[in-house]
Amino acid sequence: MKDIITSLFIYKSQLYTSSLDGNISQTDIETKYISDEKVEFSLNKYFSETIILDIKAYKNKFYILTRDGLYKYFDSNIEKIKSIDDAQVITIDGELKTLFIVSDSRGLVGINLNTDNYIDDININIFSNSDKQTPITSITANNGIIFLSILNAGIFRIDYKSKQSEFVYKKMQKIELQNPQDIYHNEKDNELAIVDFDYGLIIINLSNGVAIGYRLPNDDVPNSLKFVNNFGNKFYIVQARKALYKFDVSNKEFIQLLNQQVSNLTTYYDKAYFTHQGKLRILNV
Amino acid sequence: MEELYLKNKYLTKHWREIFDPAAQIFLNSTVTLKRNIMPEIDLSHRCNKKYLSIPKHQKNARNNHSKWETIDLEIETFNNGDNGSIDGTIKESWLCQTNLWGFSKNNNGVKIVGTAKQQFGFFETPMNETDHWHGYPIIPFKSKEKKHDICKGLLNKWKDDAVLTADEIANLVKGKLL
Repeated sequence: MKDIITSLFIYKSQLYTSSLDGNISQTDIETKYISDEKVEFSLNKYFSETIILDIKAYKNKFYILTRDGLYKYFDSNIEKIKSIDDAQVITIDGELKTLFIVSDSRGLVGINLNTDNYIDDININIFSNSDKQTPITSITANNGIIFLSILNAGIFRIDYKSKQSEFVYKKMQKIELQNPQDIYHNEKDNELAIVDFDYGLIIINLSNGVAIGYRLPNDDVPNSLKFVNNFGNKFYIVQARKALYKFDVSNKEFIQLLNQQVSNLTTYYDKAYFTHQGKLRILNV
Repeated sequence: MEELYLKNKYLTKHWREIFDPAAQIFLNSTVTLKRNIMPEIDLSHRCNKKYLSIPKHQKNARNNHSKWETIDLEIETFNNGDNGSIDGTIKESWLCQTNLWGFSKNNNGVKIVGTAKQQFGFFETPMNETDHWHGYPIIPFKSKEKKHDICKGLLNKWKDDAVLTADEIANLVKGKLL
């Protein structure tokens, strides 16, 4: 039987894999990360009644987002630190030392990572009270600047410090962004990369707002996006319906890495990690 | 009087189980429904399940409810969920508790069935056994209501029956379009 893997997460050269049956496994992987420290982790099918959506870590504490709330695992103990029935996405803002969760009913929820105390809910005014869904496909947060990609809507920007928020980058030149599936905020180059169901890869220069779209080969449809910077050679890795691609930022070309449908794409140093039919695969980028 | 012609692809599971493959003969027969008499279009006459397409979930409705791209796709989605297959063969229905889930595929993958790019249909079990079923397109795992999370049993069944891959299910759980 092939497992259904729901998330992959890498922290300090350890790979954490969650599966649909509620298990999280820890595996040693060879990476360029140098440390003798190994964080002990043991949780067997603790989440059999819910679905694990994502895992994040901060200072050896693990934050596990499920469809019934946020859990913290630390020092062999697990506890539920926030009950949220309709959580959609999670991210950590390392500079602000804050964890953010977005949910329909709560809006943007902030949690202080030093104390694990709840900070506040920010009503971000994108969720209606009607039956209309607001499917958030991804979130990024860098020093209080938060981007959300929302299906059928576009990109929503939140300035957490000033508590201001608005839709941005919905209509750009010839591109009308409709169905963003994933985003990557490349802070160093001040650009936002988006993969859109209809348009493919879109890279926006955040300084001047110029957006350029790049269609995927073979009319493929993207659903996930990561970034690799290998000694100045920059690539966006795009997981799509039919294949896995890398987009070379310097010559603006897609190169097919694997002619197979994959899932749970993540990157660590110069490698791409993903699953194919429930099995871990690793590729040098 | 506006008349709506619909292909009667909706023979009941019950009858198809009895007459299949002979029932295939009837699949292309046509029924005429008069919209002004019956504003809610009765699209099937299943022995066990009767289906009704509700105007508020039809494409031309002016409201905030989710809407089907076409009535054909709506019925195809329901039939697949009821049949428990994407090729018309009769298997165990795709149920979470008593509610039905459906989707449809073509060569490119899972079809878009809703006007907001939804790829799945949710059909809540009627209050009374004799009531009609109805449903709406939805993006699972992205709703306030827990009933819109597809249960693990059904996700595993889809994988085991090879109607969705483990990779498609992983993406589905993340709320991505497949």
